[in-house]
Amino acid sequence: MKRHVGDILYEYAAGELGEADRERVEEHLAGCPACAADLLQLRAALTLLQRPVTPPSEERDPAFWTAFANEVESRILAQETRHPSRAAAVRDQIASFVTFNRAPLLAGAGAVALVAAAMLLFWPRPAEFRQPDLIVGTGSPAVLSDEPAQRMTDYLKKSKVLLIGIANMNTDDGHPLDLRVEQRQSRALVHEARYLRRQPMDARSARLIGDLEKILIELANIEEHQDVPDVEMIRTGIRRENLLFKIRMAETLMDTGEKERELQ
Amino acid sequence: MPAADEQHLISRAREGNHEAFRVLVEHHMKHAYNVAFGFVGNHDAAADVAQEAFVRAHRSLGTFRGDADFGTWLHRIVMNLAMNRVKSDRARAQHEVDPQSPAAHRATQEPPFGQGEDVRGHIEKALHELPTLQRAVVILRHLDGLSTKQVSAILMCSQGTVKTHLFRGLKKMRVKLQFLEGEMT
Repeated sequence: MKRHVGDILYEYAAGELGEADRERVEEHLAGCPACAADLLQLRAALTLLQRPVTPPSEERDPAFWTAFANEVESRILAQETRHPSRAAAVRDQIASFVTFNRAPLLAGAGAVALVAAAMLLFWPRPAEFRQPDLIVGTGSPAVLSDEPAQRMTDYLKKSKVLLIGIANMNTDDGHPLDLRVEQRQSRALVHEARYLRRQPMDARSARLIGDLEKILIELANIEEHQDVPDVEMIRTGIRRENLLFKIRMAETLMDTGEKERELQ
Repeated sequence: MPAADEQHLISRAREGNHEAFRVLVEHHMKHAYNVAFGFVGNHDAAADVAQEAFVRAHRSLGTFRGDADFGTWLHRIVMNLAMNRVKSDRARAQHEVDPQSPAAHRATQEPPFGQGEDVRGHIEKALHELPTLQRAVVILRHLDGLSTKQVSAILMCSQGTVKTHLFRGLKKMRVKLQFLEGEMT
């Protein structure tokens, strides 16, 4: 007997075979009860599956799909908050180290200062000292120069992502939340705000940094394994101060200012 | 959606544009949901799996080379997540020690699909009991209506392998569902 046709029987049953193969299968089926029985089973299964079926997605209403897309967006934002880029994470780690581990840092700085003092006393003086580059431009006090402007942009972006993550956090199950990552980022942002406040800037940006700082400090200082009500308080603060809207406005203004300067 | 538009959206999403990614989500979400439902068999889990698939896709956009289309790539992610979900649900049900717990109750008292005794429920239950690859090819080919070629691209195997799994899976389903044939005629 010729070899069985199981490898192409599905295509035969589904009507997907070319003429030559179809004839070969039919010839084989005429003399092979086993393959003929397989074919009957396949056809019966295909009949079962070929009934018109309403896709499960059609059982959901339009509001469900809007909520679906919103939920995907929230999860992505929350993920970006929890897992910023590697470089940003390193910067945040450094910032939190500088802010909160002062004792070892001061000891290290003291040692460096002693060495520097010895070098000043005993090293031959160079003919002239070069002045370090000034970070902030001397033009209009309302315009940040490149580095502070970039840091302000980063600060606003990180604050926005952090606040959106908090605003969308799932608190429905009533369990204590682990916000250690968010708290670490808050501390880094508070530290960054101290730098930014020393730069010349317009009153609106200064106010926004102040408003953000209050919420970020609140977030950084809540107890570990805090309850949902603490997070709710922060959410209320975000809404009360309309912080996300203010950040978006500031970003738009900065973006517009940047483009205008490019055109000049 | 034309391939060029999709490529443009993917490029913008890679640059961090969330709006562009949302357009991709809105275009593919129902299909992703249906695929997930085929594996997990209930609406809540299907929504969760499909949403997670989009999050994973977003995270991995940098590695998406574009040699398959976005839909095929997403399909693969949904399928992998859904199969893992089914596997972990089964393992959890098997290791459940407290017979009074809600999960144990569900595992022992209800079919995995919530469709009760209707024909669709029986078909979904039979599908659910197939080995993983056989289930995958039957769902993709017959419930999602994809071609054998598309299924082979998603599963990264030859079309011959897809057909072999289809043949075996359908035969098993027929044995399980033979009792329905009288009801359907």
